[in-house]
Amino acid sequence: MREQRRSWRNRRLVGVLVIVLAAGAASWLWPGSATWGAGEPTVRYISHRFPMLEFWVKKMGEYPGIKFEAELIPFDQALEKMQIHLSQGAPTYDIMATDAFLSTFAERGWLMPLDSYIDKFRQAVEWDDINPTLVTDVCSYKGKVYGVPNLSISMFFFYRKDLFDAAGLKPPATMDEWIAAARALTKPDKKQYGTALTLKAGDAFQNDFTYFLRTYGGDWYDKDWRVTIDSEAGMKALTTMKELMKYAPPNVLAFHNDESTVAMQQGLTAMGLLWQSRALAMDNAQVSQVVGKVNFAVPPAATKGGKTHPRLAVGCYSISAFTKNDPELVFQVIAKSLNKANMREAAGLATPTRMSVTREPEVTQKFRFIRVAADNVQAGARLIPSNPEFSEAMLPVTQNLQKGLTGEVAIPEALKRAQKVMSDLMTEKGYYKKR
Amino acid sequence: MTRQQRRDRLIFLVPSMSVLVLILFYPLAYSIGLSFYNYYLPVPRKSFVGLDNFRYILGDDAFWDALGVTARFTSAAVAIELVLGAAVALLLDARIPCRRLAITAILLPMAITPAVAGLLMRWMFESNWGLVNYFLSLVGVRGPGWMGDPLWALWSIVLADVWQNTPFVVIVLYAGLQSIPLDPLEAAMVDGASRAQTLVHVVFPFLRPLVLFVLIIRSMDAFRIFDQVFVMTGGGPGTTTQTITFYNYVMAFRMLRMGRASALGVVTLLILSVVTSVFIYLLYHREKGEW
Repeated sequence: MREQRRSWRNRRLVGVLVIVLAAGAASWLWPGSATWGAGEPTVRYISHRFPMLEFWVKKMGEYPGIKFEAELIPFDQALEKMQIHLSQGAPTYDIMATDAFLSTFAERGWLMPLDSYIDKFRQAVEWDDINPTLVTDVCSYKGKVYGVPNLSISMFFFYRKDLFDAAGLKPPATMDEWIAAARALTKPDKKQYGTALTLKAGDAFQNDFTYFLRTYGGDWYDKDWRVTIDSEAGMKALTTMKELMKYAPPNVLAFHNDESTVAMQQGLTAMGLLWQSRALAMDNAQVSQVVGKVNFAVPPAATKGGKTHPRLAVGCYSISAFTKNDPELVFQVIAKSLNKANMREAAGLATPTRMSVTREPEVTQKFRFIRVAADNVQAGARLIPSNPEFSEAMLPVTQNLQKGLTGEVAIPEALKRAQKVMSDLMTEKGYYKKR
Repeated sequence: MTRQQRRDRLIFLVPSMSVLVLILFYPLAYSIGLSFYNYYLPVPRKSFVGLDNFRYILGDDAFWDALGVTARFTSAAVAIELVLGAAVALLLDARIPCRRLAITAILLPMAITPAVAGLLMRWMFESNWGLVNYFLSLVGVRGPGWMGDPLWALWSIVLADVWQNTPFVVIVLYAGLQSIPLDPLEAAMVDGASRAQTLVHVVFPFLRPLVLFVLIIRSMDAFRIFDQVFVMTGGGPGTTTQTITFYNYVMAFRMLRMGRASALGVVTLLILSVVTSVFIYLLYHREKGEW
């Protein structure tokens, strides 16, 4: 009898525990509960981290009537997270910075077409002031607009004018001049190295390699999507990079954009290829040791009078097709934050995408590199390929290319292996199937 | 025990078994199942491919490279941790002053999550401004490029792991030292054994099961290292620090090949199971008359 009572007591206890746990979980997860943000809508944002996007996050955060949550992480990881969540149709993110992969995401049905919202809010957001070339060439896919252009930047050649003048050097116009200048300005005992490079495997390595590859007359793919990095241009690119590495800081293979920026800012390097958005940081008196000493130029060509092809990037803000928020609200958060006043304020970080702002004399005079940005595009700065395989294979491809720089394998073998990784992926995806 | 009591006890097992099934058995079974499919994450359709994923993995040079890196890392890190951990445990057992303070300080690295530790180490090993090269420069040594140098990158991960995980070895061996009975030690002293002889012939035999235990646990953990690699080197330069787990991450989340990544996970599980079984056999090997 006693045992039976104890048994009933135990079962009641377990039953009560289960009910309490279930009630707690339900209160946490039930739609409309505090956890689900009853009250102001929460707009969630994800992008890679760099100064221009940090600025836009700050401005979007000031949009009235919303809670704004932003995730700013390295490029590779941001892309990875977006792909994982979008592939599952998850409403995790509302606003995403879609770079070269806008067309891929649009193709997969992951992005919301914005045409109807543009029509509705055209005047309110002064849509016609936004550069239409950027809208149609970069932020659209198959005739529909999927993004609001938020920036346009390219990679410049940064150089220490004071060191160059002292050594009687001019900004290099060719690769050979770059190597010679870097050699002349390398003094390891004084903790001064000739040049910075961004060589960390992944996005960083790709930025530099793309510039060298294209400037030597090559490219990632031909018109039939055959991979073409294992070529004479690829050979020259890696050979030049390996030569320049001799005059770079010892851990340059671990350098991403931040490390290259800090190296320049702290006077560790005398020159290097960096993104336009890093130019203002050179004159930030709070952190920079080289205020007023860094100048900017179009990156060197392969030979005198040749073309140069640094990386060009145009960013678009897109809305997830799976957003649970009102898309009209999300569109306004983006488009109204990217207003003239904000673009004027941010003109030092990237070339504004509003035409009226780029024409303002105060802007072009205040930010001395805006002119170089325009020259860069004229000289041949280009976007990277927009196929999804380019991003997917980037880490293993650049890991193999890095092996050519470290000497683990010979440069021709490194190029061959890197090309194979990319080619195998393209083959698997059916790019070369005969129709 | 009556049938009723047995049933009641089983009811109490339900919550914990449910959690185990949810977080262990189900994901494991799902992962094993997925390893037989071609599953590219952006495309919802999966197609059954049998053992193709396994054939790909075993024929992939990158897999064997990663296995080599993992083996080198594991053997170096665990060996250093064992030797250093034993030395520190012996020092603590020697009743040094401020012993309690020393124990607290030694345990601190274990309290930090591996990713945060990796971030700390990244800045410490930064060759231009990091603490490690600064201290080396004080003694006239020019530090290497650490994370950017193919010769030293793996060592920077090893040292980061040693810093974080030696405390575990210390604490286990120290507990073992504290529980050694006094009689054999006194007998050795009476017989005129030197300190070294006592250590080798009395202390270490008592500690042997614990040393093997630490070896098993640390080897399994070191084999699965990811956080420090991800934060410090990203698998580079080249693939000099690309461990098997990092390679699995690249396969799954960069190349989005979930089927292959699952197959790689299964292969890793099998390797670890074999290695662990060998260690467990050594640990629990039945010698005549004793465990």
